[in-house]
Amino acid sequence: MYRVAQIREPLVGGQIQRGWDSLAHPCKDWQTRYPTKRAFGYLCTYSPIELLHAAGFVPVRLVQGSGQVALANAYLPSFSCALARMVTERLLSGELDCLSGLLVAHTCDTMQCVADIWHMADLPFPVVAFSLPTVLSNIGARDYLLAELHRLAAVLESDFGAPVTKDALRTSIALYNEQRRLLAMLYEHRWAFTVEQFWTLALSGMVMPVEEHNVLLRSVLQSVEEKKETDRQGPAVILVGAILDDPTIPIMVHELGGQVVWDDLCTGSRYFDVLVDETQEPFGALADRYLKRVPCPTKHDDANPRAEHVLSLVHRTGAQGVVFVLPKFCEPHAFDYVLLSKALTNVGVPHLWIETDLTAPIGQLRTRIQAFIELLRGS
Amino acid sequence: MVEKRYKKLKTAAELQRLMQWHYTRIRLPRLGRPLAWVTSGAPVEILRAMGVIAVYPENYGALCGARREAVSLCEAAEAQGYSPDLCSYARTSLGSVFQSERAPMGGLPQPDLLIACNNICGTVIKWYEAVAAHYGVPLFILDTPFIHGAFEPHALAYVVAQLEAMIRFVERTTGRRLSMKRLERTVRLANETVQLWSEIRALCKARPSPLNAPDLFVNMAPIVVLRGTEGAVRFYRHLKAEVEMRVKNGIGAIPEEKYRLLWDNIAIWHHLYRFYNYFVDYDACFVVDTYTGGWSQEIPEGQSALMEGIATAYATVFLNQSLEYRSRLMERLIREYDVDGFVMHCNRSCKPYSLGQYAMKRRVTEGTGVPGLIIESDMCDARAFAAEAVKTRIQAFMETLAERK
Amino acid sequence: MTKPYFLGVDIGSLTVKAVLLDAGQRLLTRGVVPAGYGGQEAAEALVARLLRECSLTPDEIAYTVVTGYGRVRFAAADEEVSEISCHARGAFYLCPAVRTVIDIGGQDSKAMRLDAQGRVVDFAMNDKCAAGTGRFLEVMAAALDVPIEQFGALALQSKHPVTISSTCTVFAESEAISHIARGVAKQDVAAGLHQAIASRVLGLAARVGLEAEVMLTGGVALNVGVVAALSRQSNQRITVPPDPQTVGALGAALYAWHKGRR
Repeated sequence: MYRVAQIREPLVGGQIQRGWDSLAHPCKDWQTRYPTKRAFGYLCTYSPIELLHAAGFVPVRLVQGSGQVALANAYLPSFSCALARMVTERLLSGELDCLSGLLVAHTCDTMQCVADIWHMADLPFPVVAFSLPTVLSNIGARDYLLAELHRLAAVLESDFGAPVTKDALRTSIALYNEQRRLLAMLYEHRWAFTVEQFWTLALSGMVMPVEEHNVLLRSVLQSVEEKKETDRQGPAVILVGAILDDPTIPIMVHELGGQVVWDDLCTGSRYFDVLVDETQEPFGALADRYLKRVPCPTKHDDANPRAEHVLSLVHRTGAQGVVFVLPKFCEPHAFDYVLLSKALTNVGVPHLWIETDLTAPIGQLRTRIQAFIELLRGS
Repeated sequence: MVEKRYKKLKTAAELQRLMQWHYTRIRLPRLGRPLAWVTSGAPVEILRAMGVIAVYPENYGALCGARREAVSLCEAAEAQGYSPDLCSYARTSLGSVFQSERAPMGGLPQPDLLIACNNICGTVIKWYEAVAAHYGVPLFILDTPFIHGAFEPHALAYVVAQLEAMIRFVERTTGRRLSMKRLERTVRLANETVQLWSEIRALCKARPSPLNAPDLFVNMAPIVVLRGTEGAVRFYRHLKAEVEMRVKNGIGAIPEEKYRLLWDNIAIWHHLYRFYNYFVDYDACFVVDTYTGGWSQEIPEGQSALMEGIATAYATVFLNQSLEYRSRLMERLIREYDVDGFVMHCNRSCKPYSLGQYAMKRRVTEGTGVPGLIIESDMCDARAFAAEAVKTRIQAFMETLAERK
Repeated sequence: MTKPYFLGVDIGSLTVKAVLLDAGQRLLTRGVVPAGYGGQEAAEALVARLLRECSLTPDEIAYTVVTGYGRVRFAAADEEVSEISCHARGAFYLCPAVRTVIDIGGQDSKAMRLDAQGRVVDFAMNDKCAAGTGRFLEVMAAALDVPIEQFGALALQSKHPVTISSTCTVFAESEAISHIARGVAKQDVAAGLHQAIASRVLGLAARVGLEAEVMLTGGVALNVGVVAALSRQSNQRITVPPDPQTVGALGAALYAWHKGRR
């Protein structure tokens, strides 16, 4: 049982609903909603959205969504992940034509390929590649990343007529830092919201102007009462994985008697993890945030092993188990899973592996999650 | 019955001895010489110059695939939790580590250090992380940023800085020092090998082509695993002489060459001869391919810019370049080798090589007018090969080519 | 009024099973019927039939637990529990030494590892792919024109099994037919197919770890060829309980007994 916040309906409630619709269809009614703003698509938390914002764009995150893949079958073979296939589908269908540009940060082999595939697909807007380093702890990585950030800024100016000044970048950084702080607070106060409200609030921020999202989060958090530990019931789990763009799984965990208490997800804590240092020169500060963060599976960092991070999350949140939500055909996550699984087994933390794909077979998900919660209760 | 269609090279015996020697010698007592597992795109010249023995798990994967012994190793890796959707070289290699008793030659000798370069793919980083965790040995990763447009100066500077760090890493890990003189010598040998191999491949522009795809794939092994050695140079000199002789005497690799084809992607190791024989049945020869030409970059010699030369050569390999670059490369090869059709192996194990094939196929046919065929399989995992489906597609494609003649 | 009986119902996609226990955990009766469409009606009919056979009325049932694919909509249940927990519970009751349970159903397969108290410590499921399930055997038996009940025995007759390498059911069928067309003896192809399904299932089981004793449940456990192939490939003794399809329902009934006996 969660204590539901006093959300000021209908204004904020309406915003939450619109935010929710937007996640699946970010371009819907864009001209009506934001007639003076240009949208720039991106896919990953290694994208410097502060830079896009400073150049005057609204960064809009493209997620998997749901639907059929038809057009994309002529562009990608079956052994590519659902995110790549669904975004390709939506790009080809014209559903994302409100975008002025699309930024593809270099993460995995699939993203590396789709950046070029989309470039060759003659979309109505340019596809810009951001080749950030893969080995974050290597000598020269920072210098290279800094140069690549400057190159991106130069491309925004030359190809989009959108220059980036250091002052504008500082302002954008401050806004996104504020969003990060607010999201962290939202996470700390998740008990005050229903599972669906919580995820909508968290995820909708990725497709609306950050200024709007900050106002929304501030207003819902104002009226939140302090969380009470005793209200929490049922086995606590953390989610580990990639893109979670709808709350089916956390809702199911809750309905079956468990509770999601934190996560290590691309669309979850990795989005707001670690602030940009506002006292530093802004380009360098942006670079340092990527180097400081715990890496995702597509990055290698000798100084920052991911297993330790996941274990510390379990420890800090008092979670009893971990639920891996991994996309089929995602090599980086699938490799990491084996090492993380061993690390968790070594310290006696049970874990469940769920593989997601284009469609979510609800019955099968339910069986697994229910069995896992029963397992956690038994131990 | 399968092998009789294939015209065996006289140098095949020398190749076999050379590769056997490589696999035997890595198991001999090392006498203090450190041994490194290395990715196919790593700058091995540096290691060789320091006397480090280099061993190639990818080549081992190809060997297991060709011997049809990869499946049980993949199963061993899958039993440890590795998804069957992962690269089959990685699964085969890890399987050979977890269950060496199942592996050909008992697997590869335990490494003292690991060197991975992501110019071929990002999967090698995850694979080598797993190997490093298993053996508890140090890993160095050379990060060569992917080139979507141009090879930027800051990318070059990054790779050069890392090469210098790599040298220090190897020195620290092995206690050996790099001599620039020895490095220059190794680079000279590597360049000579690369040049010989390029010339051999270029001889296939002749009609009929002296070599077919299996020849290209089998004979590229020394350039991958023995690049920078005298043995490799000697071998390729002999191979080149034999291939020149075939050209001079008009001897083709297949009985009758009616169609000249281009191959894209890694070979289907577990059906190497059988698969290409399906094409020989239609008098089609693969005169050129995109994979074996991967080792075609010579490193500019001369000490002052040697590091930059090595960095550029390794950072600009074709798999580290955009799909447009690769499409232009294919178009150029089709023109230069007078190719009638191209076949792309959509290889489940290799996303960088395969995901862009649908887009590339359209671009290349548009640019050259030449038709293409996509065949789905896996380079090493024999479970992903459906013979009937493959034969049907080949038949339909060859009928298309026949109509065009 | 006293209600000393406990009911477990397992609504699968192809069959429905039910088990009735008394207050002393003794088995009164059990049954298996085809699920038909949806399984609800078939389950209700099966329960009604079993009650009639034991001369019981519905209100003499103290507690009902339902499991399986169709559990979410079974109105008469007091509680629903996952098939994983139920299979584990049922298997452990039948054999307290069991540590690994492999269930091969008509459309899915699962592996569960238990601790010494019978609690599930890990599980793995395959419910996406026909290979490794009863469906695979059905398709292959039909392709070879062999009645499914005789398929396993046929496989056992082989002295030279062929290797079927495809992991995909469609391609494996194509491979099998190619072998037949080339004149390979039916039993050798059948044996190869049984090896293939065993290999697939053991791959799933390896994800949780195969620890003795190993019990096989589900309809496919009635196939002697599969049991032999599993045993040979894993080098383990495989226990098959009587009425292996009803182990899940038994586990559900045990849960019912546990919850209801107050």
